[in-house]
Amino acid sequence: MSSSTKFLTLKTNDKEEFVLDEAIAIRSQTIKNMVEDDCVSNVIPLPNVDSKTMIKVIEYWKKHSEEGISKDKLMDFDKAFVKVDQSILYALILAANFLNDAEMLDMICQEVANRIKGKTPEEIRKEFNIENDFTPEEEEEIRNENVWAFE
Amino acid sequence: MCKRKINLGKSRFKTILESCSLLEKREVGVMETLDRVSKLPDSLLVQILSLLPTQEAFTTFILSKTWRYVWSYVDNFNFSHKNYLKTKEFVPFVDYVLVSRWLSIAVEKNVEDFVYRSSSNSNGCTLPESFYYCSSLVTLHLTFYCGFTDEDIVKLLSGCPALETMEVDIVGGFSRLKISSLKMKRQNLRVHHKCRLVDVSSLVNVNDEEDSCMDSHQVFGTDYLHKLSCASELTTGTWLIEVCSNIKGMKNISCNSKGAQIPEMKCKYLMLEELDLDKLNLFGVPGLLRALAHVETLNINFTTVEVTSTLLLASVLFMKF
Repeated sequence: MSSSTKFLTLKTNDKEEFVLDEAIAIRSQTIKNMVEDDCVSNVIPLPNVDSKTMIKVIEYWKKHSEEGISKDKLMDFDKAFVKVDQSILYALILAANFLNDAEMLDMICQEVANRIKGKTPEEIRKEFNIENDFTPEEEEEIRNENVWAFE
Repeated sequence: MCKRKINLGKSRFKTILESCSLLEKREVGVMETLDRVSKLPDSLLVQILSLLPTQEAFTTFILSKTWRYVWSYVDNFNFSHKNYLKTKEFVPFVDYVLVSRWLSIAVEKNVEDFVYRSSSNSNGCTLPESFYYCSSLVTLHLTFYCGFTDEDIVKLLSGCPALETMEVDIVGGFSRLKISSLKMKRQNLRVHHKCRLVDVSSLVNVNDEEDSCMDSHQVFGTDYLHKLSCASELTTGTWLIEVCSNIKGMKNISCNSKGAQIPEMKCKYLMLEELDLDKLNLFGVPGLLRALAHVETLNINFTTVEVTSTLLLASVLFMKF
């Protein structure tokens, strides 16, 4: 039994390398599977995560791995963590999805859901820059089919 | 070295590709006006919408074409009566969502037989889009189904090539029916409005007993009979007899060839439903039976039983057999 800490090197798609305690890195199910399957040589490539996003991910992992941290503190951390631009939030969702970290993915999806909640369709389009590609006739027709949605 | 190849799966690769293309765009510096959320993989959009109250998730169908059907895949339902002032509006919404979800699942699982029965016409459902392209569907029974337009029925009949049997009892909706599928063999139509059969010549079993269609049936007369001439089983109401008795030259049918106006019907089994003897034109009966020369089994269901009329009809029938 070895008590020494094992480190993994993660390489993002912009060629940055991050050396991380294996115990923390395996919060990612994807990395955990690679480690368990003995697929890890020296460096683990993360072809669809960039370094800017990986810094955020590692910040999250480290905070959530801190020993004895209170639930309240973690909640405050999470709240601040998701108060970011759409672009970063979007990159974080894809990273969490790729790394297969269900806890982190749930939290970010909840943030996107919160940004949708309580808004009219028009406000949601504005918030996310969603282009309405229905013709006015099409929109009228499907609105009429589903009148109760707009009561 | 890897001992085993990691299977990332199709959706993962999609994620990777989308992520890369986003990064390129970001470098160009056009990020602030990009619609990023719509470009997320559908599985993630569904995960996000599953976290919302179902009514809000549903409302996103209007955002854009990408969002049109995403809501219908949510895996978590959260219905709150609070948003609705009236139960009258809340209940149909819950039904609509649940039924849509079930139907989508049924199509995904290659449903072959589908029976929809609603207790009234006030809470009908709408079939999800995927239903119109359901290649596995063989039988379709709809009772009190609302919301079939002419366009829908065309989509359904062309998009479900395996469909053999269709039984519909519907309120409102389509007004013409053209069946070009050679597979369609059985049809039971009970429409509570006027509907015109444009071409149903492949049918071998037709049940069309709704007398509220009688006006339109009469208009089409023998033309209509031609369309049903291949049917080997026919269930019908008073209208068929009316059609036969109204056809010109009908009375002479026994002594000259003018009777050829009536097509030769291949029907072997004839079911006359809910015959109302008060309204029935008995003179039409012999003509009908002559036209239906191949009938081996005749079943009659009366709504009113009056001895004299029944005897009269019986004597007419006796002459024929």
